[in-house]
Amino acid sequence: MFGLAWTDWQLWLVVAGIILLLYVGRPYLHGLFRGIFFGLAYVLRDVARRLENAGNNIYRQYIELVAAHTAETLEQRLVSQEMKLEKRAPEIDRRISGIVDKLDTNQSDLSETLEAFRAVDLDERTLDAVRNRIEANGTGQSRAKLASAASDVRRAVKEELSPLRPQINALRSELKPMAENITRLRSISNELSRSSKQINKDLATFEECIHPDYERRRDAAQRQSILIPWLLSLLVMTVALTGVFLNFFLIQRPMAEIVGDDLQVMGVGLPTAAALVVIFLEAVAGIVLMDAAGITKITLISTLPRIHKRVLLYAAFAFLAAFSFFEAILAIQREVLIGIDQETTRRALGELPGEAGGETGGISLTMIGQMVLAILIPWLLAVAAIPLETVVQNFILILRLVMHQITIFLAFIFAIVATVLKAIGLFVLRVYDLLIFLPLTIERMFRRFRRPARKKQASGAT
Amino acid sequence: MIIKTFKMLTAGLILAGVAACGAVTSNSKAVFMLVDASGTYVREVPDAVVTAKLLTSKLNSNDMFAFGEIGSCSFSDSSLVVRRTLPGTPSEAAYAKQAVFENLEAYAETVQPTGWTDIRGGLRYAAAELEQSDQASRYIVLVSDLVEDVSPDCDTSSLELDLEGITVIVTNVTRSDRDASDPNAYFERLEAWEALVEDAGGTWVHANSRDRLLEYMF
Repeated sequence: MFGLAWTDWQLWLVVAGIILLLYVGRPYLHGLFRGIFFGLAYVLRDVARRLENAGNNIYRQYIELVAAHTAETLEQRLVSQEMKLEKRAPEIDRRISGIVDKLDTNQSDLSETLEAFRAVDLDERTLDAVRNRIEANGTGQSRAKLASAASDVRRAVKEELSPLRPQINALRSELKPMAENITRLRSISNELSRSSKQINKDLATFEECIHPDYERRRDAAQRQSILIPWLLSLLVMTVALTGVFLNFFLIQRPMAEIVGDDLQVMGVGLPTAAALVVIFLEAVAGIVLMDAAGITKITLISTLPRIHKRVLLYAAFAFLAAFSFFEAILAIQREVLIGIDQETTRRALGELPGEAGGETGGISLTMIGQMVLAILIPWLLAVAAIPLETVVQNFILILRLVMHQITIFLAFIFAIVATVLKAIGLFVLRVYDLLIFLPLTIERMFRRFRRPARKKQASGAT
Repeated sequence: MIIKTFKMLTAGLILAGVAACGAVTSNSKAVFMLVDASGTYVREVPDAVVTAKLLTSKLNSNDMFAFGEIGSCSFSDSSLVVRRTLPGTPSEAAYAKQAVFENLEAYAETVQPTGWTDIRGGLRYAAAELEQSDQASRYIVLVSDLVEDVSPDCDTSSLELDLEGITVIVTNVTRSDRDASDPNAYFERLEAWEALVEDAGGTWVHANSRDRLLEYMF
């Protein structure tokens, strides 16, 4: 070390000098190390605490948003269920009244039948005749007479029961509608019970979502699924986007007939740009239509007065109808253009006009198919606004959740780094003290030696 | 009438909106096809006409197409067979292309071999025509064996060319019997013309087949 061997006394002198210097500078260097490591650890811990608070706030906001959104959805559902029940109440009442009336009629019919049965009483003569015959049989032992007696009895009973036949038939015919009416009543009862259960469940969740207690709101919000509706909506949106692509390819070529095809807008052909603009306009009209109809709440249209919404609804409807018509015309134009281009290519290759054959002109099946697609797609784009709302809303919620996770993770990292820094600081201080352990030991011994003397001085003074 | 007004309005609005941002550019082309009709090369004219028709069929609206003949004294309006700027809409452009085909077919039926080959005069004529066009890209498609043979009455061998901004695509450069005995002469000829075009500020492209020509241009 320093070009000196371990056996050189100069080296030990240098080491002793360094140890002495370290001992003398101990309070200052300790302070410096504490300042660096503990100070940094304190700062990082503070940052971690702040990040954790921010993360918790984000999560709280997320919970509040989910709870509010759920409450709003449930409120709408409850209102619509209430309206539906209100509308159906007279019908249910009418149906139940009808069934009850029928049951009353059935009951009175049954009572009549019952009375008729009660009135059945085999008269005494019939019984006497039977008895006499049996006695006669007992004496005569004739089988013929026994048979005659049996037939007399059968006849007598038949005569007695013949007035009851219509009653029995009536009873039989009444039983079937009665069973049907009971089944209907049961189904109405089941339906109402299902509705009431759903309403109760929704109401309970709604109450949880607007509960003054945060914990209750949080529990209710945590039960709501965000990811699955988002994924489903995304899937539907993807399907809608494929429709957009199809639409784009249908209208891109004939758009050249309107805007020309020699210009480019930022590197994109003008017909392509124009087709995209038309599709965007259709999508906007669809969103406005759905918002104005109260199906979605993507824009601020839902907050407008009813009359304004009505005007926007009609305007969006008219625009979409116009776009449908426009696209149908483009579909025809597309087919015409394809025909002309094919003819031009044939002539370029030296074929005579009409030589290829197969072309009949007029409206072909392909053209009709294209027209149908062209008419339908703007409306399908409008319907795509429904999943779009869920995609946008839930994406914001998922973003909040991700931000919360990131913030909490960062807080965790900062806290770990702070702990590590503090540990390193402590380690450095311990190593420092280890290097100067000799003078420190001497100092401690000296202090121990001086402490009793001071105590003695102090006790002598008192 | 209403549809036409609607078309104009739509196109106008879109163009005005984007042109205001300075983001609208044109991708239109101006193509001048020069075909050598001298001597034995005249037998390549029908094939060149097919190439011209295919090339025209691939052009878009507002593109310009011209077809000229390289003859004894090519810097002349009589060497121009057809010149047409295609209309702005694809359907009208397609009908215009069909009209161009008729002109080309008529030319192919009546073409006569010329005694001399004034390539420079033809290039100068094509360059002057293209200079007046306002298309974004300009091309001269030269269909020739590149063997220049000028007449004493129309000596253009020292003619200055200005081909700035023009791409000269040579195609169907046939190899003569003389080239068969001295292949280097063929390549030297190509190199000489390449140097001439590049010195005049043009871009030189050699397309050895019709497919490569169309591939390069579109």
